[in-house]
Amino acid sequence: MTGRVRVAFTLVVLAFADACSGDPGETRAALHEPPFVAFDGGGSSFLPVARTLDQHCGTIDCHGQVGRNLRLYGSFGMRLAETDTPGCPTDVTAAEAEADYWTVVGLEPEMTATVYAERGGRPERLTVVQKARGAQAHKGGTVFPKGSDGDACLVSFFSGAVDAPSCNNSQRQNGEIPVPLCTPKPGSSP
Amino acid sequence: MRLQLIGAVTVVALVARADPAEADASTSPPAPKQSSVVASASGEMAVYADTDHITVVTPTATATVGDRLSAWTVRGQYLVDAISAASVDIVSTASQRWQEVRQAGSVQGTYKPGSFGIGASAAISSEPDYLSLAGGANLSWDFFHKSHTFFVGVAHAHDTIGRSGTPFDVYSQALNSETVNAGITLTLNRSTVLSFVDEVGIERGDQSKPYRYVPMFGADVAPTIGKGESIDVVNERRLQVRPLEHLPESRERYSLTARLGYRFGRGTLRIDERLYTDTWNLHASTTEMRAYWDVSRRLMIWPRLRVHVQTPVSFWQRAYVATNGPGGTLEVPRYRTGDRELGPLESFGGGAGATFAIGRDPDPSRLALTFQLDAMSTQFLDDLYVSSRMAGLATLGLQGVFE
Repeated sequence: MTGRVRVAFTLVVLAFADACSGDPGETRAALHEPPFVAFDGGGSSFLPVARTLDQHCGTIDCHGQVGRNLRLYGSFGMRLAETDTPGCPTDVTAAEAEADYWTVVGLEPEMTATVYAERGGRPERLTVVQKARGAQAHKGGTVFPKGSDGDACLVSFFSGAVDAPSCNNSQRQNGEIPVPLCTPKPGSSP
Repeated sequence: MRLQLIGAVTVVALVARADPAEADASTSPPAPKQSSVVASASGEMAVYADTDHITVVTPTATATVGDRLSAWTVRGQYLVDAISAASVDIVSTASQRWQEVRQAGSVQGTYKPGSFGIGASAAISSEPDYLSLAGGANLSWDFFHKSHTFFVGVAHAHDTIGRSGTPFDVYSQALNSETVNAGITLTLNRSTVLSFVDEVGIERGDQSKPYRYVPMFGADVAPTIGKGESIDVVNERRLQVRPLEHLPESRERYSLTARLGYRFGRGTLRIDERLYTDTWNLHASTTEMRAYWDVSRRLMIWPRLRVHVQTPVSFWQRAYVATNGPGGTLEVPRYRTGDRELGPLESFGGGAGATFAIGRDPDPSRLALTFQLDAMSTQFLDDLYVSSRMAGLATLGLQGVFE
C-alpha cells in the first residue's frame, strides 16, 4: 500500500468513526388533550360523543373488536365489563365512555392536542375525522359526511366544547334514538 | 409454481427477442464482422416467502447497451413487486390480508473514455401509498496505471408517503434524503482486489408508517410483557391509548464497507464487511462471504453466507408506557415504533446460486441461465408478537448478450 493510499484509507476510517450518535431529545411528550369532563359542567361531556361513536362505529364487525386501534366499547357492540352484554345495559356506561375517550385522543395524541390548542381549528388534520368523512380510505366508508350532525359532534369534541344536540341528532333514526336489543349473557337468567 | 412458470416464459421471451443473431445462425452463414456495440437483456423472476405470512413475487427485466470497451453504457431496469401480506402486525389490529403492487424503473448511464469517468442515474418507484423519485451522479478516476480507482457519488431522493386509497393531496408525508459516498478500489496484486466505500446519508422528513399504531401499557404492566408476547395478551393488557408510530424527523446514516476479492485457481472468494451507525443509535454489522467456483466452462456455482447483527434505536422499547392523567393530560413516549427492523436482531443466511452457460460455442456465456436459492433466519431479540422469522428467496433468471 502506497503512502498516499494509506493516508486516504485512514481519512475514510476516521470519517466513519467520527459519526456522532444523535440524541433524540426529550423522551416523553406531555400533552393536553380535549377534556373528558368539560371545565364548565359536571359529568362526562364526552358521553354524547361516545354514544354517537358507539352507534355508528362500535358494532362488533367494525371498531367493537379488541384488536382495533380505534377500540370502542358501548351498548351496540363490545362491552367493557364482563357482566355486561350488547344492549344490557342499554346505554354506554361511564367506564366505557372514558375508555372510548382515551382511544380517540390516543390515536394521534400530538395532533389532537394541537387541534385542541387551536380551539378545534382544521380538524381535518386528524385521521379519525378524515376517515369518518370518507376523505381517507375507510373500510366502513363515509360514516359522518362533512357538515352532518355526526361530523359536527365529533369535530366539536376536538374544540373542547361538545355539541351535544348534534350528537343526539346524529343518533336519531326516523326521529327516535334506537335502543339496542338486550342480548342476555349465555347461561344467565333472563 | 404457476408464477414461476410465467416467469420462465417471460425470460425466455425476452431472450428470444434479445438474441436475434443466435436465432438466425441456423439459417444463414455467421457474419464475422464485430460490432462495437454490445447489448444484453435479462429477465428474472424472484419469489420471497417468510413465516410471517408475507409473499413477494418480483419479475424483473433489464437491458444494457454499451460499447465493447465499456467506454459508455446505458442500462435500464423495470420490476414489479406483487406483495401479499397477512403479517402479525396486520392481524394484531384485526385487519385482513392485503395485496399490493409496486412498480419500479431505473436508468443509469456511464461514460468513461479514459481515466476519468462520469455516471448518472434516475429511478422511480410507485405503489398505491408510496412514490419515490431519485437521481444521482458519480465521478471515477483510475490512477497508478489504472490499477486503482477512486470514486465519489451523490444522490437525492424525494419520497411521498401516503395511505392506500387516499389521494396524496388529502394525506401525505414527504421524506427527502441526500447521500454522498466515496470509495477506492485497490488492485493489490494479480489476484487480490480490495475496496472501501464510505457513505453518508441525510434524511429529513417524517418516515413514520401511517398504518403502524403502537400499543401502550401502564407503568406497572409494561415490565410483565414478555418477548414475543402474543396478540391476545397484548390486546388484553394494553391501554386504550394506541398512538401512531412517531419517528424522529431527521436521521444521519454512516456506513463503511470493505470488500476483498481474491482469485485462486478456478475460483474467486469475495468477503464483504459493512459497518453502520446512525443518529438514532442503531449500530450494525453485516458480513457476507461468497465463493464463485468455475466448475466447468459452462457451469459456475456460488455458495454464500451472510450474518447481520444490529442494536436497537435509542427509543426502542418492547412495551412502551403511557400515562393517562386527570383533565385530559396524556403522557406518551415522544418517539415510538413497532418496526422490527429498528429493534435488536440477528440474522443468519445462506444459500447458493448457479449459472449455466447455455449459448453456442465458442462463447457459451452469451446465453446464461441463473438460479439462486437463499434461506434466512432472523431472531428478533426484544419484540412483541414474534421472536423469529424464517424466510426463503428463490430466483430464476436468463441473460443473453448480443451485438
